[in-house]
Amino acid sequence: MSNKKRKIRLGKRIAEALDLPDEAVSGQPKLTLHGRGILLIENHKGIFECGECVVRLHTACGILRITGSALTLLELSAERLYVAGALCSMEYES
Amino acid sequence: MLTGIWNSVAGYVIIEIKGKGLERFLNLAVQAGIEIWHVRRTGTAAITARVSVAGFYALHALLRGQNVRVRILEKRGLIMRLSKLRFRKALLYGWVVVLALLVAASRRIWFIEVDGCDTVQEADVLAALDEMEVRVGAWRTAVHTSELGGALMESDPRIAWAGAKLFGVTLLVSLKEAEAIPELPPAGNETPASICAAKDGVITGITVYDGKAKVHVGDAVLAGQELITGVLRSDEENTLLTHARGEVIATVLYSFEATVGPTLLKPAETGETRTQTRISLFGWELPSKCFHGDEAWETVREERAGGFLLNNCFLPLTVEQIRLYALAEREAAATQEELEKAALQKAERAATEMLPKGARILSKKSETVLLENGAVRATVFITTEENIGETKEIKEPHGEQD
Repeated sequence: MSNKKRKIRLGKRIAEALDLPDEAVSGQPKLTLHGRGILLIENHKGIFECGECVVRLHTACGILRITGSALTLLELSAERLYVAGALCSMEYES
Repeated sequence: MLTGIWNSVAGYVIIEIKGKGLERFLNLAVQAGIEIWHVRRTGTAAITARVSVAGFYALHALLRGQNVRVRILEKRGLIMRLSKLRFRKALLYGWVVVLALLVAASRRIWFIEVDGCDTVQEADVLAALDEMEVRVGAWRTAVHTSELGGALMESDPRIAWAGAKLFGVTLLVSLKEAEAIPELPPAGNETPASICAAKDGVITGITVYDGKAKVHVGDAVLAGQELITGVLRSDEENTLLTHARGEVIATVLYSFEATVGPTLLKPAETGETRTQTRISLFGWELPSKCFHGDEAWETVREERAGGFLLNNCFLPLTVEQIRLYALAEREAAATQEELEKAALQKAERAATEMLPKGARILSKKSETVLLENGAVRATVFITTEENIGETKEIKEPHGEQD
């Protein structure tokens, strides 16, 4: 077992023991959808593509693809990102 | 939301970023801590975004080595708008002058409010203040509010207390008027007399100026009962008599009855009619011969017989043919409601005539009864508060009764 995997498992155990949210320790993205118009993505790793109909983001789980129309990055920071527009789908690219 | 308000005050720029690797440039900007928002793709190699003024300058440091160009599309925010005005010297001087005027104006009194006036007229107070050089436009520093109250009290004996306060450019003067001193009944009549009740009632207040009270507040008294006696002392040694003076206030209940019916006088057409033309312009009726004022006809009923209107055009002219019917009052059958209304009106008219002038009405209620012959009897009950004392001369010496 590699050191990295051990660290992740240890982090998970600590998070469980301290009742901390999983995304705070593991660095996994957290997506919050407000209706069909606004999507909040926390713990992203950067923008891979920013288009009018598609936004692709780097995350710890892979590339997250958000499709819709008239997409706008409402707020952009290192930790979180708001995508607004007429959202259609979200998926992880394999 | 707060960020949005702050940005609209502090100002921001809408920029266009063109080139290749726009996403990489955005990631760099985010990692550099530059605040960037509202990012939207506008073309294959172009995006628009909003950044703060400081963020825009910080972006320039990141441009090196990146194959992108940044240009400002629009400047927004309060600071940006104000910065456009910095070359307009006249406007700037204007603002300075306005500010100076405001400062100068705020050193004077512009409003005077007088509170607590009842019998003392506000105009009298303002005139008294004017005599003390306190008027609209006076310097605030020239007004000594601590002395103003005393000066006002001296100026008018009706003012029991006065105080003044400055609220910005408003001078608020508060007054407390002196209570009216009750007028004593004229002394001089030395004939021994007592005060007796003129009516039945319940005593609510008694003020004795001369003599000795025989009743107390809350006592029920009958007409003729002695209320304030003029016999101060009556025993074997001496008899001391006086002319009793005082005021005895009591609640008194009155009832007034009136019967009406079974028929009532009602206006009925006499059969006489007359037709006339009425012209009105802009809502004003032009003078024309009319039944009104004709003594031969008591009342006239109108009916529009024809004519034409010009209300909808620019000239608001109305020409009408009016048919007038003469009416005269005749005995006619009436409904119970009409009889009740007429009976109540009659009873209240009687009450108005019978009640003493100084009486204060405390409550009023009424009831109606339908009689066997079809008439209606209305009774109005009125409770008043009034002085029921009447002076009665003491004719025979008698012993004091407690």
